[in-house]
Amino acid sequence: MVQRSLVSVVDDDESVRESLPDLLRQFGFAVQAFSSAEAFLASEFVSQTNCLILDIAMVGMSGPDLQQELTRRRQAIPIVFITAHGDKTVRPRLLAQGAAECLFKPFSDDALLEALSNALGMR
Amino acid sequence: MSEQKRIAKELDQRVAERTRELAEANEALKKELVAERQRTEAARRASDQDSRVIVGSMPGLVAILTPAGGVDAVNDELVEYFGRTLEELQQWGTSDTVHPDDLTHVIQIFTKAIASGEPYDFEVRLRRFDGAYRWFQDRGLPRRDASGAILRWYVLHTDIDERKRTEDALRHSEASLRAIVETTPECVHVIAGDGTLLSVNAAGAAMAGASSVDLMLGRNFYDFVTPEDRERYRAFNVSVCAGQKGLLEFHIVRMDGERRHLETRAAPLRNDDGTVAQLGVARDITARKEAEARLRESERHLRQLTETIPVMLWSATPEGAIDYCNARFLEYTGFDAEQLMGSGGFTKILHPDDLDQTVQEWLSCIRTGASFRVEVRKFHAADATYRWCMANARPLLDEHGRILKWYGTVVDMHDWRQAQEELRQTQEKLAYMMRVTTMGELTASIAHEVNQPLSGIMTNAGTCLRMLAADPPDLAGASETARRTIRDANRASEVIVRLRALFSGKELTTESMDLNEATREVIALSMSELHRHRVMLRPELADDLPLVTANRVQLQQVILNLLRNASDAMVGVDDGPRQLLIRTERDEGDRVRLTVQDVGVGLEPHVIDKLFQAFYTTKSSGMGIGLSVSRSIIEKHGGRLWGEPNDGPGATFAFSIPRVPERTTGAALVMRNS
Repeated sequence: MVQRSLVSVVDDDESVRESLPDLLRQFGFAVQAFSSAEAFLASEFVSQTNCLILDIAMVGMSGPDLQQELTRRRQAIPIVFITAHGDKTVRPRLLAQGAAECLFKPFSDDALLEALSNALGMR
Repeated sequence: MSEQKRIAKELDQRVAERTRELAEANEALKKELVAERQRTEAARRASDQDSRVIVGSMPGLVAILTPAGGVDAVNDELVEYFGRTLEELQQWGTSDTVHPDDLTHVIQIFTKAIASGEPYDFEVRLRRFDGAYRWFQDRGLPRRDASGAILRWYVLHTDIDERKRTEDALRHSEASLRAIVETTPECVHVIAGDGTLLSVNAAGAAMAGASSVDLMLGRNFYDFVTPEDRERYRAFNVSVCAGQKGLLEFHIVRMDGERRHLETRAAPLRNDDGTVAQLGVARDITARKEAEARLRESERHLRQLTETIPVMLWSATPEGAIDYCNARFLEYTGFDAEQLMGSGGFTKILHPDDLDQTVQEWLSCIRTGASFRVEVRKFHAADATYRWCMANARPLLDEHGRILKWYGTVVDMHDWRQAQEELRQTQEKLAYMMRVTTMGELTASIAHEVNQPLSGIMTNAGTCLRMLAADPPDLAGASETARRTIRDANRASEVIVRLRALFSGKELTTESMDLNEATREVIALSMSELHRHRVMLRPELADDLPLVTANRVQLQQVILNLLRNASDAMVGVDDGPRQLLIRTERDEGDRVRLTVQDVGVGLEPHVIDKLFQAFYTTKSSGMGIGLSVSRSIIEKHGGRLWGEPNDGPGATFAFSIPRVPERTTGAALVMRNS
């Protein structure tokens, strides 16, 4: 692994932005965390991001909104959605719209690693 | 009347006899006086003394007067009667010998007789020795000499007191009888066997419309009787005149043409000539008959009313025995009146399970006079089932408060009661569905609230393990992630504490609670959702809010519902902040108010009423039972819930509940009726 893949985390929950990057670094990824979709879009990391871990329900622009915006901008970044809502019907819809995976909180570190591997392997 | 006549006749006879005796005595006296005159004219003066002696020994009260009228001599009987001396008697014109009422009259006649020399005869009351006045007939005869000059007056006093008194009594009796007849308001008449009116009193004339009795007398009474009653009346009159007493109702046509209803009581009256007439007393009973007819009509009307009214009516004696049931009652129960009447008769129509309690209640009311009111199942003949009825009765009291009668109704309320029961069940189902719906939404909230820290715990724990497993182990990093794990676990624990607080109260039990605290819990639970909907919540919770007595979970359901509605109403607001105000405050009349105000789509005036109906919704996803059930809950708490459009954009919903809720039964009734 010459260059570490960049995984960007977009979640309005602070504890997620706190804990997830540490785990991702343990996996060996480079990590950038953003508190909102708008903040991510405004950053310089959009084009450098190899995989996006994206919360569905956020104040302001939601996860799916961001997915649409990226599609509009032709930024084909694999997306792993995460959500604390237990609505299982949302997963097939998101996968159909091109998401790599949709994880329900709480998820194990192994499940996350597998999802990321799949997402990056797709590239 | 005939008795009096007989007495009068006897009296007359006796007077005649006495008069004859006196006349004979007079005749004897005259003869004796003539004989004496013939015996000696010369001895006239001396004979005066003799005649005095003779008079003195004569029976009866005799006085001899001088030609000038002075008392010359009296006999012993006279002295004995008056109890006065000759000298005293000579002063009769100025003493009380003659009754004061008679004196003037007597002096007048006496003076005239003395002056003219004509014999006199009058009746006068004379004072006996004991002060009693008795009636006398006084006859004075002059005794003349050959030349015709008066020598002496001989006066005989005959006691006629007994006769006078009888005559007086008779006169008085006849007068009072006549007065009675004349003043009685009833018609008194005597009618001959052929119908001729022989006599009638003034009232009788007035009754026939005649201005005077004279217009009536001699007419045939049959002509007054109406044609349809005439033959009956004629037969009646004939029967009375044949000796039968009788009573007859009949009609007459008065002289002024008015028709009247009369009633006559009659008895035969035997006349002196042996014929028999009808003595009748007739009274005008027209008014009485009309009143009776009106009463009958009124009774008929009342009976018609009670028999056709579509309510079961009944009455009972003060002892509680049914004594009347209307037709509707009998038709409903299928029993005969006889079967229901009497003590305990009504128990036959009651459902066996309701019997004891109803009888106890009825007996208690009979004892105390309290109004009777029971819900009871009664036999319904048409389908041979028992149906729920409301039986009511109230006592009619006399002026002393004693029960005279019980009057009651029975109303079939089976259908109504069943509808109420169904309505209640529907309400319960609705409330249950709302709970389920709310629970589903709550579960989602809970899942989110709990999953968030759990997710942190798992991530941190995973990171921690990996850091420890690294070579070399990152102990500082592991320590930090372990710390975060504990923090997130605490966060999860707090969520559980809040949830336990939300669900700790048992259903439908009330407690004294702080509305602010309950509101804060709901806000905490809804926070993430509100956050997700970009709702800016501004709580304004009053510091000095009094406690309310309420069911905590139900009240929180209502608050949650209002918050969610407000949030949903602002989904389309993108041109400004989605502001949501939740306020608690004191309300008028010892109440506490909670207001939720949004800046959403607002309310059309015409939908405000519908908002609170079940299954009405403006949302595509809702069931439309939230506000309906919320209102039920608030009304159960004795409060009210309402909504209104804001002056600006959005709407305001609020509820107001008392610090101490009203009686649960009353509130429950309100809920059922709404």
